[in-house]
Amino acid sequence: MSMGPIRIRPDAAAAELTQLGQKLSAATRTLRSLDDVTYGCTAKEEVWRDGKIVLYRFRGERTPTAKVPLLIVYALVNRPYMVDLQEDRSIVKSLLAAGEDVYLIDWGYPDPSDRYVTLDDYVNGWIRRCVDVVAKRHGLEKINLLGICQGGAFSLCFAALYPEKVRNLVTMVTPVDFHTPDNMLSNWTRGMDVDLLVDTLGNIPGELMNHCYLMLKPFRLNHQKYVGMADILDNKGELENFLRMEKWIFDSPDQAGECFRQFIKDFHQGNKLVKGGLKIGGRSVDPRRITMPVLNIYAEQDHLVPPDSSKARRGIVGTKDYTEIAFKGGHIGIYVSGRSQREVPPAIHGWLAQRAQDSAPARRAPAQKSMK
Amino acid sequence: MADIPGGAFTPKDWEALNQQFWKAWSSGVPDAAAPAPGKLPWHEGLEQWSRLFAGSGDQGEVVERMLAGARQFATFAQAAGQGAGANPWSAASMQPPGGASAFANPMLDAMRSLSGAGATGFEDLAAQTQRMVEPMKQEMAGLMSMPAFGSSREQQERAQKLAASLTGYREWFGRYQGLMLQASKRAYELMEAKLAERNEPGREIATLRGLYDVWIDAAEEGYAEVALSPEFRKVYGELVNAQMRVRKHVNEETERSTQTLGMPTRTEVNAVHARLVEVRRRLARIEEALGLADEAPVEDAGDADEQGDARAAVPAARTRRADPKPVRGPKPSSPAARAGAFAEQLAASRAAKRGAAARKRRK
Repeated sequence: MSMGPIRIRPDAAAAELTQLGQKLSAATRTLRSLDDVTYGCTAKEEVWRDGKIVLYRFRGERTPTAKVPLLIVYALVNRPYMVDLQEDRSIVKSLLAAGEDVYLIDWGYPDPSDRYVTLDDYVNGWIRRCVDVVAKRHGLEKINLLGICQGGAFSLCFAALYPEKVRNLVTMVTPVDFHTPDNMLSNWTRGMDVDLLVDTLGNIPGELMNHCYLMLKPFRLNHQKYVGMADILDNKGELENFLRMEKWIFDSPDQAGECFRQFIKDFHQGNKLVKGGLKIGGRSVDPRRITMPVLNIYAEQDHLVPPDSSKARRGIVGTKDYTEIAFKGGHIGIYVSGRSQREVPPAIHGWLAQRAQDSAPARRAPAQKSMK
Repeated sequence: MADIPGGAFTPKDWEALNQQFWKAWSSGVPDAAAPAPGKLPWHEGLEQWSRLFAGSGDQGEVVERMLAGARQFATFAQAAGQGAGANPWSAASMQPPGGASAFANPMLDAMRSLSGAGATGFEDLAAQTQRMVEPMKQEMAGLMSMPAFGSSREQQERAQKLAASLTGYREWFGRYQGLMLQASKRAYELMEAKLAERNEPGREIATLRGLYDVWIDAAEEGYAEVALSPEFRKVYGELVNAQMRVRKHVNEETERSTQTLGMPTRTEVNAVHARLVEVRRRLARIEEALGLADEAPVEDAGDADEQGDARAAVPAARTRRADPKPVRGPKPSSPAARAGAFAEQLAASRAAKRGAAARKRRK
């Protein structure tokens, strides 16, 4: 009789279970010794605000050497502190250390009074105003944009609408082609009557969004991950890191109803970034107008934004200076993994620095006082 | 403890494993109570652990999620080992006779166990709606079969529509469950294939955790095949749509009731919110026209200088708005004139503030 591929000896299983019991036992002490987790390690100042929307400038330990500031446009889902989670996991901190001058838009938490906020408000309104504020502070006509995930899609739209305001465009884990065969989220949304959904619910609850994201990998994200957590139960530092990530994952703002309606219709269902015909606030979004240099960073194991969805960018933009970087990791790892800290910020900084050498930034006329 | 080649376990082995786990777990927990008769130490240990952290905020929520994973792992290990008995392990041995077990439809189980603090699925929303529908059910039952006429005709028609939407939702949920079952079956097939791949020297699975990880891979792949299919798109979309139709009818009935009681309705509040957003847009345009767009507006500037405090800033800003100090003058006649007057007031207010700040600096 074949012995089969499973060769688990009872004594080995006993050792495994004993170890698990010991870890759980130790955790009763470790977990009680933990304080509430905090996040955000870099000093920052509020430079502009419109209601819940806040524009921050980060303060590094050294004076920025970059002549052109970098504005981070994060997604509406989840919170932007992911880019500055903790001391040893902060893309912002690494960018500052490299000499970049980093700004970030915090979208806040939409409440029911924001139900009628549209994609037009976000792109032609707040992103444009934030870009103008940063540009004016530095006496420049154009600044650098770093769009992340959905914020990357917004940044693409913005760069197509206002190419005169964007010097270099960097996008990270940003979906472009929403109809690749491996895009599970889009597969689900394409059969939905989003009008009925928004008309009925108003804002889309963050908890509902969370559930959908967890259902993309229900066994890994809801079971295997927590079985793995048992391995670190006796390690205070690792547990704190784990809890911090948990806090971020479940900290999901509600989505403004009208903006959600258009995003699902035009991006997920209509795939208009690729197929054409996208309009925001009555203005046509033509990606061929993106003629500034573009750096596209995608994650090879991204379960939310499949690599092919992101790589489709190459075929739609008008620029001749297009660079693509594949990150060996997933959608979350690209922000917080050790590899990410070693590879992503240096890649962004190096790419921007190279383009800074190629041409001097155009100053505003008349020249404004620089904040640096 | 028997050492059986091929890794098959006897019931005695499992009993010994359970005791060993309990000994390790209870050694560091002075208050650990012995498991009740008939309860497995595995499960009892996890339950007691859960109670230790009940109500401890964020950490308690994470602990609950971890325990859900640990319970699944324990159930899996138990089912897998006992199913194997004295025979070699296989994917089939993990399926109890007849397929009825905690793993009979692991996809649905996974979906349900996802719900909790911070994650609410469409099924949870349906359960909420169901609770709201319950009181209406008796009335609906009486009205469903009757032709709609007379003074209560409209009410009857609405009840019939609600009942029909509920039936529609149940139909689509049944089809959705069918797809989840299909994904579960596919997962077992994939598990068999994955085990077959390891049927060579050096690739065998030697730990419970290793076996569990292979099962997770198979489950995810089986699920993904279904969840990426055009059929799933259709069924999932229709399921959500059907549920929204139920909710829409419930919303409408609730609105009628609140209107009767003289309370503000959702429609009225929505109208206010729509106007508020339009006013905010107009204010932004005015600020830009006046060259004030790059100044930090003061009306909502709260205490939220930390990103995480944004939620706390909302009530703070609301409090400030509730105590306005308007500068009153003659009421302008047209909307354009009113907007112009408002802009002038705003500009004057800003100029006064700048002047005061400059005077302060000079001092």
